[in-house]
Parts: sequence; C-alpha cells; structure tokens
Amino acid sequence: MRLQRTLLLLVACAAGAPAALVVGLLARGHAQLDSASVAAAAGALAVAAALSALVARSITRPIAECVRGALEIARGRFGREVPVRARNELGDLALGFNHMSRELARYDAENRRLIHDLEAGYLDTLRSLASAIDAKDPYTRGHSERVAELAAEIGRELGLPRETVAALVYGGILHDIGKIGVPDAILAKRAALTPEERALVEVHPGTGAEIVAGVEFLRGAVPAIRGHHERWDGDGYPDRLRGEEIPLVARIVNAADTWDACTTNRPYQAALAEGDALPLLAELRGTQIDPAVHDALVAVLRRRAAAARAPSAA
Amino acid sequence: MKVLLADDDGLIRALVSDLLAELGHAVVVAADGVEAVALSARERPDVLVLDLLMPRLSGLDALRAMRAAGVAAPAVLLTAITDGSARALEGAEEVAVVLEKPVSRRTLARALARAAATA
Ligand SMILES: [Fe+2]
Repeated sequence: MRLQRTLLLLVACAAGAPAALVVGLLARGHAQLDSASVAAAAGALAVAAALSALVARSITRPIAECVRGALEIARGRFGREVPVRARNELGDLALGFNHMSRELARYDAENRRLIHDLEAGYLDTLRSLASAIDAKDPYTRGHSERVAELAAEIGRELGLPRETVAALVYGGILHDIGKIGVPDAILAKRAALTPEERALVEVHPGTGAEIVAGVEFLRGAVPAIRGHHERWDGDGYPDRLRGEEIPLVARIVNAADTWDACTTNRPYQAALAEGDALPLLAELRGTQIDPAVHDALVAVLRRRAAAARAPSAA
Repeated sequence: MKVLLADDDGLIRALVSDLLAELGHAVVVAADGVEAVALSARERPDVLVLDLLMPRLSGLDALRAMRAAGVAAPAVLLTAITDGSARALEGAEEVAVVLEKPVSRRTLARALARAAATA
C-alpha cells in the first residue's frame, strides 16, 4: 500500500503537473479563458489522475500478491501460489515464484517421506530386537509390542506431544531389553525367586537403559526403560524414586506393562479376564501406579472395549 | 502486566525485553513459536508480543495454536514487514496491533496500550 501511494503521487505529478502549468500560463497570458479550454484542462487533469491510479494499481497489486505469497512460504506454508496477471516482468516474477513454491512443497514432502521411512526402519529394527527378548521368555511373546501400543495410547489420552508419544513407543518396545543379561532359567522359573535371583532380575532396567543410552534417536526412551519398575509410593527399583520424581514416560510404561502382565499368562499366574484385572488395577492406583496415568489407562481400555463391541461403527 | 515476548533474534529479545522492563512490565521470553505456545500455557501472560517470522512456527501460527488452547490475551504482531502486508496474511485478524520494527520505547508503549484496550 505504501508503494501504491508513492507511485500514485509520482505518476500524478508527472502527468498532472504539465497540464496544471499550461493552465497557469494560459490564465496569465490571456485573462479571459473560454470555457472550452478550462474544460479541456480539467479533462486532462482527470484523465491524468485516473491513469495514474491505474498504473499504480497494476504495478502494486501483483507485487503485493507476491509479497503475501513469500510471507506464507516464510511461515512454512509451501506450495502457495499467486495469480499470474500479465505477460511482462511482473508476470514472470509470479511464474517464477509459483514454480519455486511448488518445488519447495515437493522437497518438503520428499523430506517428510524420508524421515517417515527412516523412523519406520528404526522401528522395525527395534521390534526384531525386542522380539529376541520376548523369545527368551515364552510367556511374554508379543508383550513388548502390546506395551508400546498401550503406552502410546495412554500418552495420547493425556495429550502429550508427538515426540513424547514416540518415546513411549520406543520405551515400550525396549523396556525389558535389559533382560538380555538375565539367565533364561530365572525368567521362566515358576517358583518364588531367591534373593540372589531377584537381584539379578532387578538389574534389568539399568542394563536396558545403558544398552540404549548411546543411541541419540532413542534418548527420550532411556528414562522410560530405567524407570519402568519404579512405584508411585517409592517402593520400586532400581532408584526407589517416588511420585513425580519418576519420569512420566516411565510411569506410563509401568502402567501399560502391569496391565499386559495381568491379562496374559505368566509363569507365576494365569491370565486374568479384563473384568477381574480392572479392580486389581484400581488397587494399584496411588500405590504402584500414578493416579492420573491409571485414569488415562482406564479411559483407553473403555474406548477399546467400546470399539470391540461395535466394530462396524469404528 | 505480564508480557510474553517471542522473537528468534536474540538482540531484539534483549532490546525489547529491556524496554518492557523499563515500562514496568514483567517479561517472559521465547525464542520461537513452539516455545511461545508452551510458555503461554504455563505463564498465562496478559499480552502477547509475537514476531511474525520465526523458525518452526510463525507468530501467526503460534497465535492460532494459543487461541485453540484457550489463551485469550491480546496479541501484538512484531514485524519488519509493513502493516499493510502483515494485515493481508491469513490469521492476522486475531492480531490486535501490528508493531513495525525497529521498535522504540514510544511505539512499544502505544502498541501495548492499544492491545490492552482491546482485551
Ligand atoms: Fe521389566
């Protein structure tokens, strides 16, 4: 708009000034101006003003449109295009601009696709790693995968950001990776563990966190792995953290892990039906499990049950 | 008043937050739009001063996210772009005042007063 004002002023001066000068000279030289020449002068001034406005507008409008398009791209909205109004340099500007915008959108989409593929590839690698752990223990087949899925759903239920939900998926898949260091005989043992055996089992969160700590892309999952056996009341392991001292991702993986353990067969207990597991879960609310996480888990389970009852509606 | 200031340029952050403090306001600063959105939820500012062009999330898109999250504080859009061009952008209708850079103590005080008056 500033450009339009400046142009309007410039062109109006350039076109109008000579006309005004002529009128001035005429008025001074011949005292009596006939009405015809006054009308002609006024007409010339009016035409000059109208043409100036037209010129100012025809130059300013395409430029303003390009400015708007450039600002939209600057704020990350690739692919915005501007109208091409004329076959001149201004039209060329718009054409070049549109091409650039489309190319940016293409690069952006390509980039996103590559990142997505990369993450999916990582995830596949993690899954096969985790299934190696699940395979050590016949009772936990598919456990890691289910914990990851449930933990991510709880995270979304709590409105956590995308990166935290990703950390929950990775942390869920890898939470028991440290069991790689625990002898198979202990993992499969039906009888109560001796104190020595228990000590061997209880190092697995720390071992797991150490295994994963060197991988930059799994950084967010490390606290989830290390803390997944901490308890809300402070009675867990390995760091005996209490309440909010326990990282939220660890509290969530703990709840998901507990739920999956209750509802699948274990060496020490048969699977509970969901109806029997829910009261058990309620008992753990505020002792083992963060109350807020418990409530989110229950909401997720309700939604799953509703979806299972009405599969056609899903 | 508590003012949330978001600008990716450290120099402008320092300068404007100094001016804001001189004018007697409390200031919380963010270095980009994503940070600003997170801060606005935590700090409950009275006025938002948002740079238009920031990495990750522009001032206007940050403002949209804040409005969606229920932050109703009036917004001053801080920009090197002229008022007319900024006003033409999508989402600019949520902006109470466009404040053109460079910012002086006087223009800043006036923009804040006008923004506060719309609240
Ligand atoms: Fe475990």
